[in-house]
Amino acid sequence: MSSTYSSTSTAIATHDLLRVFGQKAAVNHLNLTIQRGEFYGFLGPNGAGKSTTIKMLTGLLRPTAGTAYVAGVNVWQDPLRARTVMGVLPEHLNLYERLSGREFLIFAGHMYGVPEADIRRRTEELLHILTLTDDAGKLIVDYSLGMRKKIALAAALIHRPQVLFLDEPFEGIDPVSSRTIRDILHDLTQHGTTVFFSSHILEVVERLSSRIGIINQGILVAEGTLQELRERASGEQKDATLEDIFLSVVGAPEEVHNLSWLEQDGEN
Amino acid sequence: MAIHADKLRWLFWLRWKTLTRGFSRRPASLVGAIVLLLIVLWGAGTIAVVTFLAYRNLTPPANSEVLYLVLTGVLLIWIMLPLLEFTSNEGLDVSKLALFPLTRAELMASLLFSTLLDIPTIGLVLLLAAVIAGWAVSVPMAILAFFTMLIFYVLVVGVSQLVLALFMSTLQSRRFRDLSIIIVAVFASSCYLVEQFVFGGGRFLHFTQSLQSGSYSLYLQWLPSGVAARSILMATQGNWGASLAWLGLLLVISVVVLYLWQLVLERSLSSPEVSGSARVRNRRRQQAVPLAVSPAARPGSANAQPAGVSIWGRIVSPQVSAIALKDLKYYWRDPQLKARMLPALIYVIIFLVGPLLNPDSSRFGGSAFTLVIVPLLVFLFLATLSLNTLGLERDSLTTLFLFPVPPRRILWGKNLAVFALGIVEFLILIAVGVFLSHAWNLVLPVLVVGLAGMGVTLGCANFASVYFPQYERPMQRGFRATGQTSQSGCLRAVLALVMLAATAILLVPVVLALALPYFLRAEWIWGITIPLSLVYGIAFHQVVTLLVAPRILKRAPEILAVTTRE
Repeated sequence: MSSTYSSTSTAIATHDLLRVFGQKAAVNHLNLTIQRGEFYGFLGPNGAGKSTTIKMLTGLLRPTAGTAYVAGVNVWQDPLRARTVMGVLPEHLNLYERLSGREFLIFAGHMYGVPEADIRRRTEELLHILTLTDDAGKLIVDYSLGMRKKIALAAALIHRPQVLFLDEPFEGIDPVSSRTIRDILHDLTQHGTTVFFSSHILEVVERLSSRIGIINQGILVAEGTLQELRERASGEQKDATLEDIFLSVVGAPEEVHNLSWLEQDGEN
Repeated sequence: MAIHADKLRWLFWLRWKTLTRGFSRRPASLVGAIVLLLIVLWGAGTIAVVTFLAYRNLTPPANSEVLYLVLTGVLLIWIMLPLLEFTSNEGLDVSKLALFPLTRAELMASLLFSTLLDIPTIGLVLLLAAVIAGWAVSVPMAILAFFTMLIFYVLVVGVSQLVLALFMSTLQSRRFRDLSIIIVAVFASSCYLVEQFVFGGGRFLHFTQSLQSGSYSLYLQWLPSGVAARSILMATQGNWGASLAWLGLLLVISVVVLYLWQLVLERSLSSPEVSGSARVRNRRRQQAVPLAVSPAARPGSANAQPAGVSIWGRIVSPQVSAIALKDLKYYWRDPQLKARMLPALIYVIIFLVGPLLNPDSSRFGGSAFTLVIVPLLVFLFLATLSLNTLGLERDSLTTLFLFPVPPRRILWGKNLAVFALGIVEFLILIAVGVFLSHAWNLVLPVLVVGLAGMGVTLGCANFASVYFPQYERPMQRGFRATGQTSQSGCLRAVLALVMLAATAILLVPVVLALALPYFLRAEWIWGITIPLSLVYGIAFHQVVTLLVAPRILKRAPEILAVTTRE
């Protein structure tokens, strides 16, 4: 099996990617092909296999079967080269909490082999743009969730990755920072970086993604641009939102609550 | 201040459920609880029996002095316990209960009752029961002693909860959590020094003399515990009026404490939460800087070598330096790692203080043996810090494995940090050892052999870290800090022993290189054996590290599965 992927325009490719936990296939023969510069939104209900897929694509979880290529590099045959070209914001951040934000970015820069002068400059710029300059000297253990996300994102960006994996990047982020991050990610895709991100915030996915994949019970049940998904899922409903499409594709049950006592007057 | 018995019953049920659910969800915690229970029963039971005999058999005023000391000790321990041990409230979490429409009285009564399910309370009850049994020489005395101890129990628990509520924000702060881990680790590691301080130099004799002369009660009688003791002692002298007056005062103090507790509790619940998370600061409005024009976003060679690097930078890769520097910062800032280093500091202190406390002891001074054992202490220290070097990263190992770092550099970086710490300890111990033994001729051989042995120890540790990584449970505050830090329990201990034994065997050539010529009185052989041992140590470390390192890359997910908890 080759450690490289022939197509230069493909940023991420998986072939029959499978991960089984006990009797359950968390990811079931997943086939993805994502082009360079794409902003790929990866959706799915809880436990659908999003994080498992990202872990397999980033070398943190061994697939039961199948192959995964990132920027043409086989993730499992040449892991060091694969890590060089990717930046990752994992689901569980697991940062070095006893380093300050600035120290962590400098450390990450060294780990990616970025020249010292560039590390210093990029660190200060990233801290500034993510409004972390005032807290850069504080230990990460004292950061809020949003600040942790931002510092982890900065560390994932410091080496200018070709492919960026973001697992729930907007969770716990305030609207101002969220807007900044969206701008950064948009700029990155304009310059050829591929962004693969999972999110529960459908409005963000709808606005940012050039293509969307929906996974349910480990199977990729729908994929395409928002327009393509609308046409496939809703048929005549031309202005369906991503939420409508998502619920339709994953087959969410429409249950009507029967808590009549909530509507009664009185204290109890 | 109405109290609904039904609510109290359900709150007690809640405490019982949280206790039993904790055991059913984590069976290992049941073992820990049983061990703690046995320790409390043994410790408090022994003290209870000894003090009971003291109350009955010692002649006045020694028996009453013991009563003052026991009650004051109980009070002080229950004031200190929340600071060192309890997470929020061992009984029930007040911040969660505050969501429900409970009256202050219900809240406090439930907290008081729920402490009955705390294991340390059993120790408290045993000690107070010993007081009742010891002074119950007649039925009226038994009744008085019972009520005095009952009120004293409420007072002790009330004071404990008051302290907890007063320092809640401080207790929840990260700095205090860190500090309490260190304090307990220092306490647990320095038993020798404590023993020397308490029982050395005839201090025990002085203690018994003080009991006979009644000098402790002069001061302790003014504390709330002294008030309780006075109530009992006045009754034993037949002065019932004074006894009841002191009992009344004890009751008033208890009510005041309970009032203060509910006052502080109410304020702490209604004040904005500031601890545990970063304070929100006024930030200047963010300027929209398009990242497209930022150098951070410009394409660049991620693997380009830095220009104008120092000599250190030429010898050691920036990645190795960065990992070593990060680890050194962690050893300074992380209480869990700091607690691991404490034994090494204790060795140094014992080396320094031991001869001063026991000038006549044959264990210290006057022998070249003092200097020869120095490397062994350092090897043990290095093994402690590096036998599970990947596991010690804890959950951050995931982040480390996301970086494109060749695995041998990970091991080198981590070894470099531990080596730096070890060499500092080594040099201090050699200086102390040579000062005590005057064996100047051994300094160079011991130094070189020590370095060789450090290479062997780190090589063995790298093998163990890669092939037998272990999960390191994050330490909790207080006495939990000294508990089992690995969920692997016995397996981990056995592995550590096996690895220590293997390391000891592999160190034999190094030790022989130093010891044989010394005992054969042919020190000239050191000219050959000591350089050879150094070559052996360095070669062993390098070969083992290069052989085991690729496995880190090949088995990264499996290593993460063992060492992290997501």
